[in-house]
Amino acid sequence: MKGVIFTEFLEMVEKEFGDEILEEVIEESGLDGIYTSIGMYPKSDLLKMVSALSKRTKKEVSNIFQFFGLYLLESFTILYPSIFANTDTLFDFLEKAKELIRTEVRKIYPEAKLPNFETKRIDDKKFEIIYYSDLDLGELALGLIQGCLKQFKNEGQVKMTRITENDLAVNFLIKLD
Amino acid sequence: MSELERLKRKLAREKEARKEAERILEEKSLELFQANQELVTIRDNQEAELRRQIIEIKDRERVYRNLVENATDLIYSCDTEGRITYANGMMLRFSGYTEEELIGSNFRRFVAEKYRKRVNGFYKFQLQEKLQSTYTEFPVINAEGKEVWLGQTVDLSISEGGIFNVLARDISDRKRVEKSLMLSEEKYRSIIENMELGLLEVDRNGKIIKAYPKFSKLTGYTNKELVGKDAASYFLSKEEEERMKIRNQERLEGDSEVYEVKLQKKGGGEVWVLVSGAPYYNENGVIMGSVGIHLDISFQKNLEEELRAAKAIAERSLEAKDLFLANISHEIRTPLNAIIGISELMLNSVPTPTQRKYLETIMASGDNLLCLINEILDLLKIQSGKLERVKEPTDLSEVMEHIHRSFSVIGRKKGLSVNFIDGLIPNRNYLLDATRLKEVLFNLIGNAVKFTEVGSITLEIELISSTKEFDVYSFEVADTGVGIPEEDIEKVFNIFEQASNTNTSSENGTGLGLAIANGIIENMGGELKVSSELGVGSKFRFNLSFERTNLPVEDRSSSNIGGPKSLEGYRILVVEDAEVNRFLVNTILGNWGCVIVEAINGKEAVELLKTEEFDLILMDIRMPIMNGIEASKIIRNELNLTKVPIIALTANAIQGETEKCKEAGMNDYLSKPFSQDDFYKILTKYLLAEPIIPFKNKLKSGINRKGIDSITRGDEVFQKRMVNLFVEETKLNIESFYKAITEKNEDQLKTIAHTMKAAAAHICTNDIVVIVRSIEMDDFTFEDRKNRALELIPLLEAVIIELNQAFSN
Repeated sequence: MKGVIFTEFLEMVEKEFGDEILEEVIEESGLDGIYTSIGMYPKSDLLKMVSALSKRTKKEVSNIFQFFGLYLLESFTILYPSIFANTDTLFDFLEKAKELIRTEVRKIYPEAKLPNFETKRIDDKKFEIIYYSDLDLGELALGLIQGCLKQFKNEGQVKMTRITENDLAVNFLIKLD
Repeated sequence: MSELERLKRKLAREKEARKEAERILEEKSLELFQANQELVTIRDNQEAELRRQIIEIKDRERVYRNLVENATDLIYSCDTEGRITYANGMMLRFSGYTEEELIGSNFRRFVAEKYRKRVNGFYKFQLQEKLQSTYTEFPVINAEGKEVWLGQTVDLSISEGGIFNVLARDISDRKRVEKSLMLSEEKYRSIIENMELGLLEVDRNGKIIKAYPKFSKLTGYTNKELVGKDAASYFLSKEEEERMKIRNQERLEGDSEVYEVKLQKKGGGEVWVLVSGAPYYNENGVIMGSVGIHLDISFQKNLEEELRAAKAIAERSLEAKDLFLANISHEIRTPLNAIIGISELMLNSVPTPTQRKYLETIMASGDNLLCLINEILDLLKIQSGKLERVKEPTDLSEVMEHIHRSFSVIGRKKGLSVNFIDGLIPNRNYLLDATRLKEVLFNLIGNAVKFTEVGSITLEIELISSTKEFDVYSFEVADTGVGIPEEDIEKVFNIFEQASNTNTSSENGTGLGLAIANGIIENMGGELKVSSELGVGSKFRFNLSFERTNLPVEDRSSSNIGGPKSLEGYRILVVEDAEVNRFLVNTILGNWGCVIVEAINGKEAVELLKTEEFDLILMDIRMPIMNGIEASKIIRNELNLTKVPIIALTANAIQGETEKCKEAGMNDYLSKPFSQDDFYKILTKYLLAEPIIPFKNKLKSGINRKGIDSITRGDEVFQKRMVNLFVEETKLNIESFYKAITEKNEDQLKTIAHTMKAAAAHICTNDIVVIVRSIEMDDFTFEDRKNRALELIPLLEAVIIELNQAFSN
């Protein structure tokens, strides 16, 4: 998993919950908390830290992930403004997202695994995404999609449905107002 | 945890993170550098490869360009308007223009004027339909202004607005061949169609493929009417159709044939044609059918028919001539019979010397006339190939002696000596026609006597070779007469021709003698040869081959009889229509004491026989009301008188007559005119109970059965062995006898006789043993011993046959 996810997570914890809680989460999760955005780190590190945060703040893990998704999308607009340039609508962006992510991920680590999803534009207002992942990060994806709506200033609902029991495939239906 | 502490920790984490980021960057930079290095290598390799490929492509292009440039075909390109954009060397040479002149000019200008429109249209069509490739042939005018045929393949390349890539070849030679082939085909077709020969092509099943105009003219059917039809059923009669099936089969087997056949014409009528039929093949050598060439031969056929009719007429008239001659001879011989017969009777009635002289002249003239008629008849038979040959067991030496005897008398009358030289005639019998042989020798010797005034006639016979079954003899009659001029030698056998220089007007003779002798010799398988020297004499020679036989000679002569015996009391029926003949027969028979009853035709005879019995019937053949043949049939078959002998009296020496007599049940025949002697012989043969049989035939058996039995005491095995031994030895002895005789070895003859004496005494009868012993006798000459040996040999041969028969089982 890309280092930027970890650095942004630590930053979100510090910003939203303060540096005392950050130190506790690092301590609690038994990690050293040293991450750089150009490195790659195990997914379990993130799960441990989210779990520690949930315990400390008494917040649901899923909520934390969704919230982090929203936060992450906003960070991306600052970190990688190029990927949002030349794209006017939400649906256009979502259709191009796969390719954009691929470039960003593989520019340093050519062998890295990519998030896998399919998009389907149903009409002007409806859009469907099916997301396959063995990382069980459905909520993170939901937060990211919601962040996208916000970024492109769209109003609407994102309905998340788990297609399979162990969350390996998740369906997102976007309905714009 | 204090705020400071948290900051320190955060700073430491940031520091560590930075170091890690630097390490990662270092690592990634290295990876990037290496990746770049690889890229450079790849690029360098690609550049090298590219250069190599460019060279290769250029090489290949050069090869291709050379090929195109040096090709013997015309290669050029045109745009869609026909403007030439490229032309190879061949094209330049062919067109006679420089490259500058040619490029940009329109290819149509080369096309021969009258083909331009067609060629133009052809390529417009290719362009319009976007056909990738086309081929067409047309003539163009080359640089020398000559018309040249091109076969042109054009590929259309659609790219760059359409380009025609053209490959053209000079096909003038092929066109010329095609044209000459067409002309020659045209030539032969016109020859065939203008000849008086009707051609018909049929397929393997006999179905007509094509009928040529002359065939149509011949049969009246048009080609249209005939195509597809079954040729055989259209033109042939049923039986011809069958034959044609066989012929068609032969065609399919590749056989040609020429035959004549009659064709049915359209609307009735027939035409005879000579057909030459031959199979024809396709290019793979498979028979596809046959071609028949028909020549109208109706005219020849008609001619042939006329000739055949003419030939039949000629043959019929020839037969009529034979019949006429036969009849005439009958008519002449009947009165002649009376003249000779009655003269003979008068001579017996003690006439005065003058009367005797007259009578002898009458008889001699009658004999001459009879001789002439017989000769004419013989010649007739020889010429018509109807000469009968009756082969009977014959003693050749007897025949020769008879001839010699006869001519000794004749020769003596003329003051000539007649010599007889018989080299060696083995004492064995042959199957031959003695009468004919005698006739030949009589003619030849008679001829010799006739033309010889002083000197001698020599008759020589010699055994010249032998095979297992045949002995070949040479006969020669030599005279010391006038001889025959060389220029006449060829003519001597011609009928009625006599050597011109001879003064023979005083001689009697028909001139037929040599022709007859020649004819008979040829008939017997020999050839008569003449050699002659004027004033010295002539020689006539021939060889004849005789088949040996062990059969005894059938005795037909009764010369052994001392004189006429009385036939007193025999009842004889004489059936004869001619009164003079009845008178003659009655007189003779009356002299011998026979009782005669007369009938003047067959019917009367049959009536008489119903009530009376006869010892013998003399039957004339030609009679009014009922002839002799018919009467004999009735006597044998209806009256059932099977035993009474019937003797035919016939004047007809024509072949077939005697067979008819035998078929009708007659026993024998007497040819008119006949001598009293002949008449007597035949009567005694049938009337007397025991006819005289010559010595040889009297020998019932040559085996001494008692002697054999006594020596072997009935032991059959011993008997057989002894007999076999005797037979083998005797065969050798016979050979030795012949050898000794040929070599004139008197001692040898004695030795053989001495050796075989003892065995012969046991096995043979006494009369044979006597002969064996006599060969050894002291006071005998060689000739005596030889004659005894020759007498013995046939007896021994008979014994061998007898022994083989008796002891074979």
